[in-house]
Amino acid sequence: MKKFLSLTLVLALILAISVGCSSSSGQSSQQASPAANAEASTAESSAAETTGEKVVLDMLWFADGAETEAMKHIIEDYKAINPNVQINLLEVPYDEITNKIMMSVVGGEPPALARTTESVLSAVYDATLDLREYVDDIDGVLAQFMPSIYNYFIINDKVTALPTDVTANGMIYNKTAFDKAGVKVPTSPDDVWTWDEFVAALEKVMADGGVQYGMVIDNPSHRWSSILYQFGGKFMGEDGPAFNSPETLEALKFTKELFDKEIVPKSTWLGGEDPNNMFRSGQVAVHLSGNWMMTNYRDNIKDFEWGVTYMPKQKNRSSTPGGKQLAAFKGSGVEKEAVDFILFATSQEENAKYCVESLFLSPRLDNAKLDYPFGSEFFEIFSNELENTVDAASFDWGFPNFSGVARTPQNEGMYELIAGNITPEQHIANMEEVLQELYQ
Amino acid sequence: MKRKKNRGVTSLEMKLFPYFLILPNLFIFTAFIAVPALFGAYFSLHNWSGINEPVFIGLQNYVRAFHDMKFWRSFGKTLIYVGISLPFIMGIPLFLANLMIKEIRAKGMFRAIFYWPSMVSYIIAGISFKFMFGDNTGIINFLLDLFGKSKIGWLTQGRTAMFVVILATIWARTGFYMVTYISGLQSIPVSYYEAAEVDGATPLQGFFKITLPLLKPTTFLVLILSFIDLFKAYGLVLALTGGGPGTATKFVVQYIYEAAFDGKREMGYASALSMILLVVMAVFTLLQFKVNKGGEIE
Amino acid sequence: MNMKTRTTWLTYVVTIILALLFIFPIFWITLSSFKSGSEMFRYPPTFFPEKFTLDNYRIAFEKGNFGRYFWNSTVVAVLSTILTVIINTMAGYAFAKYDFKGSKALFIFFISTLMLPLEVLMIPIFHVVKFFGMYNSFAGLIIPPAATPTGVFLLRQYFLTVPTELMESARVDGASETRIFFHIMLPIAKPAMSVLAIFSFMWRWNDFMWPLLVIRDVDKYTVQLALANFSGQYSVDWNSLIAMSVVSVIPVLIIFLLFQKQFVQGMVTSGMKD
Repeated sequence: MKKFLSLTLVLALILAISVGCSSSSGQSSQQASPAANAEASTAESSAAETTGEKVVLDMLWFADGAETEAMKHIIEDYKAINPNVQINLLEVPYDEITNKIMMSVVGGEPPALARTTESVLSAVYDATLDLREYVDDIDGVLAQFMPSIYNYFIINDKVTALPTDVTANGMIYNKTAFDKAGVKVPTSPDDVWTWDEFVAALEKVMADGGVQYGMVIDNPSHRWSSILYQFGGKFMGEDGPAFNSPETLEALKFTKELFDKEIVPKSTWLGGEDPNNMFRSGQVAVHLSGNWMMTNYRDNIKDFEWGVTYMPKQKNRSSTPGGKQLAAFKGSGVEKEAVDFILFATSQEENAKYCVESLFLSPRLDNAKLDYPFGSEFFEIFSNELENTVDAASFDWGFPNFSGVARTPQNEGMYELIAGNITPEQHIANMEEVLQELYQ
Repeated sequence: MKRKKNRGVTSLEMKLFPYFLILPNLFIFTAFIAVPALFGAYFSLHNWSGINEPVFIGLQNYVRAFHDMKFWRSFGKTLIYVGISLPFIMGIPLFLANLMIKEIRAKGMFRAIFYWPSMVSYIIAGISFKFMFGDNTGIINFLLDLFGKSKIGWLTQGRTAMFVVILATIWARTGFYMVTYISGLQSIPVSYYEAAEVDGATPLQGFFKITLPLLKPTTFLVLILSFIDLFKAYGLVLALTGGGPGTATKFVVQYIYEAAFDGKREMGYASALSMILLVVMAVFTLLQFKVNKGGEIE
Repeated sequence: MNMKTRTTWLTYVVTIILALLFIFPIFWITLSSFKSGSEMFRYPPTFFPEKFTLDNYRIAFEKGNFGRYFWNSTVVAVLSTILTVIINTMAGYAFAKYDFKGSKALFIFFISTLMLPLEVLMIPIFHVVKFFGMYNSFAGLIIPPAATPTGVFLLRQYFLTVPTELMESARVDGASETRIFFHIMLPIAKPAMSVLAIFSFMWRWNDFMWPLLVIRDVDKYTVQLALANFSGQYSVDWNSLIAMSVVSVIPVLIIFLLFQKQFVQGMVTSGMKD
């Protein structure tokens, strides 16, 4: 038996060594320089480059709705100008995209391009190209985008990607229920509700509007953070965590009260009930979500009318911006072509078409006003929310690794808070400890 | 029925044949699992995010795991979950399998019905159970409300959430083990039962005197498989409760995945936790092998 | 006989009640797939679709080349299942019927491959897959997952119940080991092999990790890979996901119905009565 065990081990070792060699060569070359890694894996495509033959770009992609079709249209447009370039859209689920990028990069098969979010970027930015090295007038290019979201893709001064759309958190409401209760929502940014007025309005809609609950909030991290900013709180400071403040405490206490008064159903955060499905079921007056829900609700809500209104304010008005980017990767062998496509896809004309078709907000300053085929008035409100957003919002969410590190503890802490297992003060203390790690 | 050693006739063929038989599996397991696992063991001694260069830190990940109370709490929850589910996962399929080999009409249809939940993906199993147990969208609470009873926060309270998770597990896994049992039951010669019936034994006596002892290889198989399966529960729980409320149903594999893929993406640490998990399960399995003598009929 | 009829009666009642409990969630989700997007999550819920619609199916099929994905899944699942049944039966037989050196350690090693959370090892596995040139090829979906510890274990336990006397008398008659395996043991193992075929087809059909790891090109996607894409960053496209999931169970169900006849009749004809 001993003999056999050793035999197996030897066998395993031989395999391990051979595999190890191939993998370590992949890894070391990748950290040394992108060119070295490109050598082996992409000999064919770099040859193609010089002769003007076919170039293939693989783009890892995830999607929520109509944007896949919209991206396919951009690709068609690009192909019309560059007939030798073929772009493959490789769709993977959002939850797996970071994994897939990492696996491909470390395994020596980096994709040419990938769609990212700030949280994907903060995990893989080591592997992306620095667009500064590839675009001559990078500052001129950057100047075309909203400065407030630079943090999301410029990491340690490296331009890791360019934005394709920007998202705004906002308030979607059940118009039928509000009308039934005779409650009018603010129609101009000048008369937005305070949170107290808003809660009073919700209570009235709950009483007379035929809904069971006042509000659902997607999640206790990104979506809830809008409330935090409205109350004047924030997560991160320049030199250390800034979560510990009277403003944060007030926001936490206020949030807990919303749950305790059953204005917000506990089942959404604690019981895994999908806020989106609850709003669709018509049981809720308001859904604190964002502009990405437009296509979903347009297609799936037929039992009642809905609309978008301004989020309430406390100390400030604020939303929380988010968004998607396109990044290119080292060692794909088609870096130049990939960057060229990014510039094309984020250009004014293409980006406008993309955003209009997907019902997205554009991150480009020159696409601030777009002519949407549906809900133009909603998008004006979302844009207005973004214009009135505090700087802390993008500072927090663009902070390197913030969304990766803070999200789970923030979610779990909020669950414990709502369940009454910890106090707001304890949650603040716990989070300060977690956030501290980000400054090392 | 006990396996006997061959007396004397040990030809070279007989010596080599079993190795030939296991070779394909051995090769695949070694190449695609053991070798990666060795890498895992190697990474467990490193600080590694999956994309950077691993930094050797000795046993620090293991020391940290030892002190990681959150990990051990999720471990404890997993034990509770396994402990409660295991008897049902072993018992209900056995009961059903016994029903399913009886002479009843439309056997094929009934078998398909019980097997059906095993074929359904976890995300669909999760939404099905939310349709039933959702606090505000589920039919059970709707019915409770209809009959004037107060609603139950099925998934918002730790204990009831654990209950629903266990129920969903039983629902989703019963078919698989039922089919396993059926194949085992078929290998028991009918003549044994006929003989017992002649001797005037009741069906219940037949079950305990004939079925259970002769079914031991299968029961043992189900015990080991369901133990490992339950201990590694992840997909269904994630789709149903996401580990919540709070962390009430966050089991050990979810904890490991979060270490690997969320937050700071500590692949090295996650590898260390995986190794601990492997050792714990291996010890249990080995013990079971010793106690049950590999599930052979005595 | 009165006693017997009563037992039969009881059997039916119990079976039907349990069957209803088990099928209810499936029935519900299947009915939901025929509801419009606005009715699917309505509260109070409707049981039968208020307005029967096939829209969810139509839209889901438009969202990807599902004909292709179903074909890919079928090819992968069928070939992998054949391989699984062959090699796992071989190994299971070896572990049950031969006392060779290292057999216990090797068996434990096989089982222990079940105990690792493989997702954590995806990066090293990716390297191995590439090393063998299986990246982005069906071979990578067919060969590595074909070795299943569960299958080996299942066949081993099954062969344990087969009397060793059968082998010994064949040996006395001068049969070679290969001949014993192919001509005596394989026919006897038919029920267990059918069970493994059912399981293996289901595992491969529902597998998500291996396709995610191995496949790059969209035209090689399997059904599960395509289904997973209905889950976005913010929301799940339940309408399409539920509809397509209902469809994707059908092949697995067909395989079950085809093979379940095999595993129940096996023993009667195998001459096992001793």
